[in-house]
Amino acid sequence: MKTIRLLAFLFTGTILLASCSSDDDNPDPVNEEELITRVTVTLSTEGEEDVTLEFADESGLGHDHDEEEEGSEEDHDHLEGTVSGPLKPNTTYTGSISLLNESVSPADDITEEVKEEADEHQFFYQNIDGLDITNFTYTDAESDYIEDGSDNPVGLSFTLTTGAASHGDLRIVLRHQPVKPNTGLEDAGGETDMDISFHVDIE
Amino acid sequence: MKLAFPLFLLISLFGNIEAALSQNCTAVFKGEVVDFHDGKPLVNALVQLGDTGKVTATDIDGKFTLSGICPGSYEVEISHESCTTRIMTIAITGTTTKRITLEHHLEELKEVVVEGSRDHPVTNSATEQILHSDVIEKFSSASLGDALKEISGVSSLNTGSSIVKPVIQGLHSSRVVTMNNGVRLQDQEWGMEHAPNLDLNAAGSLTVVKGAAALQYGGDAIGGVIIAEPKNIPVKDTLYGKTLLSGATNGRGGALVSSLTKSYESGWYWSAQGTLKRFGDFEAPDYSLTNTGYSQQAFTASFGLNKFTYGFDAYYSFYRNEIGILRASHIGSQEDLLNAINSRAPYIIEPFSYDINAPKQEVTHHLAKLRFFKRFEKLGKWSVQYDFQQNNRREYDVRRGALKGVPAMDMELTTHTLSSDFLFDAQSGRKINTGVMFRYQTNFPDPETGVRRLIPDYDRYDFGAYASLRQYLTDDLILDAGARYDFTRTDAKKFYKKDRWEDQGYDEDFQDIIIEDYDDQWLTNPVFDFHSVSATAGLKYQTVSDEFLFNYALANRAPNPAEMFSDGLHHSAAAIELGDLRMDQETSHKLSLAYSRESRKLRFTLAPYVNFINDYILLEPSGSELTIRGAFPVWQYRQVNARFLGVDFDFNYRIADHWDFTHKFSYVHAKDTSRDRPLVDIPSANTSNRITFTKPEWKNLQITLRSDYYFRQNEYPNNNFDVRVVENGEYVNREMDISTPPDAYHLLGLDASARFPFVKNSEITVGLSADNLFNTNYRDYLNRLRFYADDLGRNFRLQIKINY
Repeated sequence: MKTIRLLAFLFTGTILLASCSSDDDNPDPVNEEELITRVTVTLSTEGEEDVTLEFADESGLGHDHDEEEEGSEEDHDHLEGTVSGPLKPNTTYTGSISLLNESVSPADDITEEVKEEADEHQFFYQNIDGLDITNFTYTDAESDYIEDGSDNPVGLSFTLTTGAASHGDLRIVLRHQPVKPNTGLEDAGGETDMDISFHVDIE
Repeated sequence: MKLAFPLFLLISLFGNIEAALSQNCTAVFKGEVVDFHDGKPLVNALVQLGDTGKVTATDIDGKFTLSGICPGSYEVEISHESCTTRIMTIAITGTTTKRITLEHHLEELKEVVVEGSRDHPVTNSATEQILHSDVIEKFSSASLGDALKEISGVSSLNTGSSIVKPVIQGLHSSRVVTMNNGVRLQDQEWGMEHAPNLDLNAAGSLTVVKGAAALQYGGDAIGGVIIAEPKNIPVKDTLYGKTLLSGATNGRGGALVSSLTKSYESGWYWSAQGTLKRFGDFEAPDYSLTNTGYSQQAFTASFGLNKFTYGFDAYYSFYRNEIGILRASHIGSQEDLLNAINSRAPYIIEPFSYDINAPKQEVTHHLAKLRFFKRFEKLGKWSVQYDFQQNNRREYDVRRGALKGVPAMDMELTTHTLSSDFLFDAQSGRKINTGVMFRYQTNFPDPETGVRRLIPDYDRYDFGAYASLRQYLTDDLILDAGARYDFTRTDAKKFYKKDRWEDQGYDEDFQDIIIEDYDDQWLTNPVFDFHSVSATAGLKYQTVSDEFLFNYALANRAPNPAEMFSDGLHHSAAAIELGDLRMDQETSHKLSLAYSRESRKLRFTLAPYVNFINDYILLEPSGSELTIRGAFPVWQYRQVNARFLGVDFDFNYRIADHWDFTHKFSYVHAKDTSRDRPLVDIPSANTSNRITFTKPEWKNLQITLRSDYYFRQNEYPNNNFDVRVVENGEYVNREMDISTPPDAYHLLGLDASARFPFVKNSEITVGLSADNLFNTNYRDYLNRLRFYADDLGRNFRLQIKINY
């Protein structure tokens, strides 16, 4: 009988343990801390107003669904930002990019994090669908941001030269831990941290 | 022994005559000797009175009489040819009568006498197979899943080479129950890349029951049960142990395993065992697999008392591992995945290193158990057990800034279980096993990760009760049957993003479970109850050379937390995985047959089966979702009806003296009958052949040539989808081929071992093995990293074992 009593005791203990834990105190919500919710690209050239390319997503998780709806593909597969105005043809712009996580308060400056880990990050810029940008040049290097950094580019600052009047997409990709040096997105590998397209007019 | 009895009788007669001549000594000792279990008299049991030389044997009624005894206290030894000898102190004066019980337990005896050579089945009629320590030791530096592949019908679902999940006849994860020394492992088994947290070196035997017939372990083992049991500890004064050291060229690491056991004739014992494993990056034939190293530490300790009528054991096991995951498999979006699939080689190949960096997983598992048993005369054996488990899993992603070094997932699963069983074994030819189980489990996902919880906080309550019967119908025919009821309540606290809540249609069905509003998230309190019934019935027909098994098993499995609550990005799959609150139980009806024949030269088993699973839960692509990192495919859990048809075949043939041939073949055909298409991730047909040369005279030399052939899986669903990517300044659609299985492959291996005497009372066994002898490039359909890199290249292993 003693053992039965012990058994009952153990069982009661288990129930008690179960009932006093976590019934009232609710878990805390978690906000994604690793997000980039605001991307701002500023393009400037002398004598013109700055052109701003901006993408903002408060929730961070885009949530543009295409639940295999045929035909909707055209609009999707890359998040699209807004552009403040057209670029001039045959002009060289200096560009800079800034990244923020505004889902936490105060907002996290992701640009700083990229700088601190310049050797593990690289931005890539692509012309798509006939946009005529004749030249992209990285104007920074890892050594600008970190000690003992190499000459490999990071892409937080760059110049671009427009060609003839045209329309198309400018795509900006940030890769984390890419193969460096590389010749472009094709052989960079790594993992995509950001992938945004902007519809740009050159006129 | 039998011949000796008449002789003893003679001696005892003589002794009696002599005693009668003695004047002062007139006391009589009489009584009967009976079987403890059923009270039946034991014939020819020997009763020996201390060192007086008086001895007699029991008659046909188990009765005995010794007379002419000088009054006093004596050590009486009672022995019987199929029982454990018993010694008791008895005071004899006048006429002393005593009823003496002996343990007459044929089956348990068989287990001890021919340990290692005869299987002690868990069920009667279900198909099951066992691995003994000789096979387990060969895998000392590998994992449980690798060792179990030696059993036909068992394959593995891998994430790289170190995370190996057993697949039984096409089923895995929550459909397979793993028992570690009588404790059901609670280690977040739901994840595809969560391998069982169990050190196989602590196991003396591994049994796989292929199906749900072992009801004492749970009613939800639709796939089967893996039972790891420690070696039996003998009840005698002894101290023994072994040390096993193995090293491998691939991964440039190895394992050290050591164990020590002390036991006493009084029944007391203690035992301890430890394992250390450390490997660096593994290698495919053409390149190094960067960040695939791993380390494991495991330790077990136990002590207890093993009397015949009662006993207890206390057991503790600690298991910890840190496993690197192929660096190149950590990707950001479906475009990254497309690039990885098309490139055929990993993007990141670095020189060999022992470093384990992110992505990686760290798992710690504690298990403590206390068990007590008591045997009741003419009734059976009662046992009660409490066990505690704590499983902590941390998964590290490649992260940025301050979050570097912070796990992306950190979950702690704590489980308490109290169970009690009663085995009625008093009636010969019939055994009834009954039991109840109470379990409480709580899951705590740490919010400090800064990543939304993939699995929520939850409490889970389980109750189970079962009864099973084994009955000899005739000498050759045994029937078994059983039934089990389980109740499961899951009480979770889960956050949903409001837009996800609506996308899933929960705003219509589950609005009442919302308990709090946090801006863009709802906090909800889903509570789900499941009542499950499982049952089994079967027959075993056995003659000297043939055995025929038939079994039917009904099983119900309540959905696991991942299937109900998953909600988040899964990096190694580059997919957003979504559970469903509407998930229902899976119901399996499995019929299995087995026919075995054994002769002096030949032994084979043919075991076909069919398993119908209603509401089978699977995960498949259902669309895509855009994030700042690019587009991700969305994989959703859904339910279909499924049918598994398969066969396992084992064949052993003695070709000539010293030469043996073994063949295994298994095939499973699995279909989604709701949509009339194959099921995903089903192991391909495979065959393994071995030729072994054994020569005991030459230091126990044993050489085995292994050949394993894996056919290409030709039955697979097409889950491919199109991805829009940029090529040469244009958007183009490219097909993401996540469906096509890799080609068939063939691996050759060689094992050689020999045994030498070592310093006194000990011996040393040296083994040398080679795997993937021809350095073949291959990828396996059931390896989740097959998109990123080839599987392992050639490997040489050296193993030294010292028994002492």
